[in-house]
Amino acid sequence: MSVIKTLIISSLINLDNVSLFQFLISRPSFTGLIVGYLNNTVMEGFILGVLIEFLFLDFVPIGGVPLPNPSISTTISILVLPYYNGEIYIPFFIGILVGEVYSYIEVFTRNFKVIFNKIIERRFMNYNFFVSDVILYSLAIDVIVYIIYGFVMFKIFSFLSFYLNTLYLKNVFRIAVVGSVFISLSSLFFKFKTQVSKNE
Amino acid sequence: MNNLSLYDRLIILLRGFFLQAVFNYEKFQNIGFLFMILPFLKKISNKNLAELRSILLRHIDIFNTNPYMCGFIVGNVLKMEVCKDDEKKITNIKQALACAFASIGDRIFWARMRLIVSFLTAFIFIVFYFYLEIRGFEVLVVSVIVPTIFYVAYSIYIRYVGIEYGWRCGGERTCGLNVFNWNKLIRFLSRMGFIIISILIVLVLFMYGYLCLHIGGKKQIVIGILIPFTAFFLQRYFRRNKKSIFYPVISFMLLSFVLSCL
Repeated sequence: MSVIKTLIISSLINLDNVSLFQFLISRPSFTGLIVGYLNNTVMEGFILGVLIEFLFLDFVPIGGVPLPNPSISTTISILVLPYYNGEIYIPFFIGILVGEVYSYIEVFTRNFKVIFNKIIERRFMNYNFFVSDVILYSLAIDVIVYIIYGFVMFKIFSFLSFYLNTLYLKNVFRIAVVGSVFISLSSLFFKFKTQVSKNE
Repeated sequence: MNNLSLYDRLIILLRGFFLQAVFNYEKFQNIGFLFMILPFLKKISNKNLAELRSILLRHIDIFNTNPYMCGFIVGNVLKMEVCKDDEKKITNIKQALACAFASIGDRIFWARMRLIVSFLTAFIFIVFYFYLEIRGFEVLVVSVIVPTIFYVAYSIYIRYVGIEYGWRCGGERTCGLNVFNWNKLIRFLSRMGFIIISILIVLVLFMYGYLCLHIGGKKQIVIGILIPFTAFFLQRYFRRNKKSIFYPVISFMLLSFVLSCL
């Protein structure tokens, strides 16, 4: 499937992350499965998703704090897979970087959406109680920003594959991926251990 | 006329899925909240546009809570609006409950259930794929879909009963806080999460050990043994210093440059 089509589908899945539903279908394993299926890399997509998901579980989305975006992380890491011989090691870290940078973009879009408050207030003052179109515009902003950002990142990291896709770096990142798995597991274990001991 | 019918509750539930659609850093979920309550307010205002306008302008103010728990607040606010309670009282109860339910919801859904769903996904996948050697697309689908379905069902249930309970005890300052034993639920989820992650770690270590032993020479085995211990040490060190998980990951990545040269 083409990059743009994949990004469109992924951006719709990403709406579940904050804007709609919150059904956890935007979590990386779910996104990875769907995006991987669309790009004929189901297993790699799923494994990348699970690995990214475990790392990002360390962040808790409380009080509107911007977090690394799980959907864009997984999508970009799957999209650049063919440029890295289909091996997940380097794309895994590319995904994490892309997701982390997106949290800053999200701050920008959330600040931008402040204008909708003024629009709604002005409407109510004029006895116009229509809200649905503002919701649609807001969702459209999320989708458009996501697609543009995803496409730029895809282009950057597919171009950089000429420099990053070396045997040496592949070995380095392979060890780093295994290490990240144990770091995530250790972090999650102690998170729950603390919770249980606090409750006792 | 001024009763919250099944149809009203379903409309509020469906519109509740859009609570964070216009999430912004000035008033957070205020537009989503307005979107939820708007149809019912139109119904009770009896085409009195001035009254409807004054109610909506009051509710355009800041609102931020856990999205799954907003039903408790919406039900409560609508009951107070129907009973024409004091404006100040409505605002105070709305804000107080939003804070209380944000804390409860974040602890139940974001800090525990979300993690448990991910653990179950990994658990089902590892057991089927590596231990039972059932390998196929179906395994991936089952491991992702099954835990998600439980999560979705429970979250919709909480959203729905929240509207109902909120409406029933509308106007009370503790409305909804004593409906369930939230502490017991939080304790249960903590224990459940702890058990699943412990089992998951054991499964991963067995799998990893097996792969390490079958990978090749002594050098690889030494590096393979070094990795989990180093990862554990780095995670504990940075967590003690209250650093994000990216610190141990980046440190490990730098260390990997050395390890790969061995």
